Amino acid sequence: MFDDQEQQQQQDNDKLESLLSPIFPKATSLLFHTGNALTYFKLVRKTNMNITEEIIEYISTMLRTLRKNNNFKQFENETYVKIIPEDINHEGSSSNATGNSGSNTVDYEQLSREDLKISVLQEMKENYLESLLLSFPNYGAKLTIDEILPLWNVVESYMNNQKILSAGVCDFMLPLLLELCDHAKHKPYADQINLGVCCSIPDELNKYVKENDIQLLTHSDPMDIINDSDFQNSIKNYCHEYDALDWRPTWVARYNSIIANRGIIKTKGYFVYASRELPIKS
Amino acid sequence: MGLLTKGQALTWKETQKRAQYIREHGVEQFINNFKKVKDRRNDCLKWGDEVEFMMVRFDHKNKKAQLLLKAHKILPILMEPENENPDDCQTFWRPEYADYMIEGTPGKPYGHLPSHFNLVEANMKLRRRQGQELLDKDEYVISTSAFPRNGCAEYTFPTYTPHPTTSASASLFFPDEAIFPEHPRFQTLTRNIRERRRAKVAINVPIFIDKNTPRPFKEDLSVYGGDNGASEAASLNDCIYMDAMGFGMGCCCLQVTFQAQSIEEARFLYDQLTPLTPIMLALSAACPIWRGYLADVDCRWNILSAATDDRTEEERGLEPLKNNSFQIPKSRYSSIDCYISPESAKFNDIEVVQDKDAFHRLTSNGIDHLLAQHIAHLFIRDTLVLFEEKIELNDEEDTEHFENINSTNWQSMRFKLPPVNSNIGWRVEFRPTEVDENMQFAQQRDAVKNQKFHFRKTLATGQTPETPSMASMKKPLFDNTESDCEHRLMSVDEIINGSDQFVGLLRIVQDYLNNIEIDADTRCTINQYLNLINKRAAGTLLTNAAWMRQFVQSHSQYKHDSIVTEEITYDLLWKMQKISAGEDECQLVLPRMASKTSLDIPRAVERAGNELETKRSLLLNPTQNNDKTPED
Repeated sequence: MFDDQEQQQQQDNDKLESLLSPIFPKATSLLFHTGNALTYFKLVRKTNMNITEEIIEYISTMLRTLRKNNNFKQFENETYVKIIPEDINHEGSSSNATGNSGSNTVDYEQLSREDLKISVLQEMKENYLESLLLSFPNYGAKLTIDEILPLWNVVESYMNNQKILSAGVCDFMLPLLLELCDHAKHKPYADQINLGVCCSIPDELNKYVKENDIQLLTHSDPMDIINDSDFQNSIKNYCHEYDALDWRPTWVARYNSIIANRGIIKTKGYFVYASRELPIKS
Repeated sequence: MGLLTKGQALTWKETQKRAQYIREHGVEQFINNFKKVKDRRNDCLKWGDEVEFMMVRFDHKNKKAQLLLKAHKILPILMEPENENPDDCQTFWRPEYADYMIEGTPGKPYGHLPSHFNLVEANMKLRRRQGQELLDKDEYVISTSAFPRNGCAEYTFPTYTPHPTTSASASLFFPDEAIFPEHPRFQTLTRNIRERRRAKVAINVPIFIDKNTPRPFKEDLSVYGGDNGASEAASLNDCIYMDAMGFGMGCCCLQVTFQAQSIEEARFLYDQLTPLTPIMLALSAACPIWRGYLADVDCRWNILSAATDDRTEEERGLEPLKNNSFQIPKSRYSSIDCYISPESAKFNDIEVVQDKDAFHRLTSNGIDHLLAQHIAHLFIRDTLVLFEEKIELNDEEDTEHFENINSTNWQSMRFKLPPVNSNIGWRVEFRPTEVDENMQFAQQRDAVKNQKFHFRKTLATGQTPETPSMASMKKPLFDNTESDCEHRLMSVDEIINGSDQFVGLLRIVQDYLNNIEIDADTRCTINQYLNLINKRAAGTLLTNAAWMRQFVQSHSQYKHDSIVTEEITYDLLWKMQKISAGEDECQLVLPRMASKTSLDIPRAVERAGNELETKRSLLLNPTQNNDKTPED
């Protein structure tokens, strides 16, 4: 049955003529928004897809659709290209969304940017996020509190405006978590740790979170969600080779919305944001 | 547990006279109640479990294990906290069919938070502890489905001799004294089933043919007292013969009930859980020994079906119809006959015996055909127990006649009507633990490893039932699925763990868990449970039944003649007791588990939940006092 699917993909690829010129030659920022990934039926049948494979699959699907519909004239002059589903649902203001944000850049400047929040809130057309979890490169291992605080302060300002109702962090171990709590106005409500350690949490950490009413949640994401070459390759398969040049995925955000009090997942989606520098034309 | 109305039970003759009355008024009550509650919505998921335990007394000197008839003594004590302060109990207790059984449920239903999954084990352990505390030395609460020597000589403590000529069951093996004495319901049911059937129940379980098993295997039943050859005639060759309701209803089971958001969701859930009933039955198989013999089946289901079968010979198709209205293919204890949600209607492929008058009455009162069929099918059954004080009822307000019939249809799933004067919603009860062909496959010896089951080839993702017409659930993924069969035969391993052609139910569960906010302790606990299920399904861990079978066959006293002696039973149960108590291990059946289960959800979770509620409602009601900030 999967042979059929791969065959279809192959047929699709064959049908796509090679492009004579790049689709978004001027783009230096690229944002993919999958929309509700739960509607991607075909993907349900694949077993054992990890998050990297999942995201590559979504990106590929979106680009394939774009090519099939021949709908890319709009990007010719854009510097910030957004690839979003065409039939995106407009949610009402009362839905409950949880945003899970994973950043995997080594470029520390990125950490203080606000565009992350703006993009996510804007594109999802939600009035607010109920919870936001921040995940830092290398699980925050090489960062100091001074590097983290600016971003946390941005999050806090959103909390003050009730655009974000609660915020937490990922994979923080003790000294860092303590420092954050000491310096922050809004303490993190949760620390989301990797599944691999959920059955063997260090005693000190356990004690600290219990005393401070911080939830220990779990995730199973790898440190590097999608690397440069995987990202570029998935673009190359469906676009002109210049379209794929030099992109570096900066952050990935996963969000889902759950029907309150019933534990039913209503939507799930991803944002993938990448940037690149283009050679200056004369 | 069943409906426990109090009062004076009528004789069978008196009960039978009122069969049609109860039928008509039961349907009437359903209609009236339905109209009041059909639009009830309960937006908060609630669910709970019921576990039945048995009590066993060990005689270490004589290597004897007996069922302890003590429920009537300890239940009143167990129920004291509920009687004094029902809103503040962690556990509730109820009697069950036999005086060696006690049934416990959580005091409050579990809710919608992932953290609630972490409460179940701790609450079950608490229940066992509470029961155990009231027992004496050498007496233990044990959770296993069937006592291996139920019905054998001196199998209870105190010991009683069966009196087949005068007892409620007329059984050669099961004395009336083993039935719970403090409530008339159980004895009455026993007697009335037999009287309606005009014969005692006949249960024939295929015996496991071993090297030295006599062929054909046919017990000399005359040693149990003559009964004019009735038992002789009812027992089949190469079968273990049993003749009482107690052999079935005296088994300990586990049921889980879910409250749905609406009737549509309840119907949907009922249908969706149904295909899982045989799979769960196979995975939880725990009954390979009956009345001291090794059987060729691993589960209790067919035994229970036969143990409560009140059908007459006419209804069973053995005699032409004269006094009865129709032939009925199944016992009132059986798997369900029809799906009840519109999405699954197309899968109803067998003829469902129904009471036509009930059907017409229901449809002319606005109840759709599917639901009407379900109810009309339940109502082909006569009432089995009636209490004098509870015949004349107010059909507008009461539902007892409806529940009388609904609760004596013991099916693999039960659809439960909300009580009018409450805020309890539409519920669905999952009952197999312990598609019909699948149910027969499931009970075979080691079905988990050896059998294949019909299962749907493709599953949609867990999309919400907000709009029940989830066309997306059935959308064909390829153009050619229209002509393809939607299901094929799969092993339990493939169904649970997946393959390169099927996603596997565990994978879907893991995906779900990866996408909700779930605290680390709960995740740790659940992962261990899923690991257990994964290994059971794959066959790397034995089911309880497979292990029990192995234990018997490798016991030094076993003579390969299918007989499970007192001593073998004693050793088996004592080993089980030690494993439950954590004093012994059994790597063949249970991996070393160290779950993080707890009686309460973490304070952080509760707090976060409350804060979120506050913030949410402030956002939705901006006219409220805005200068109050939520507490940090």
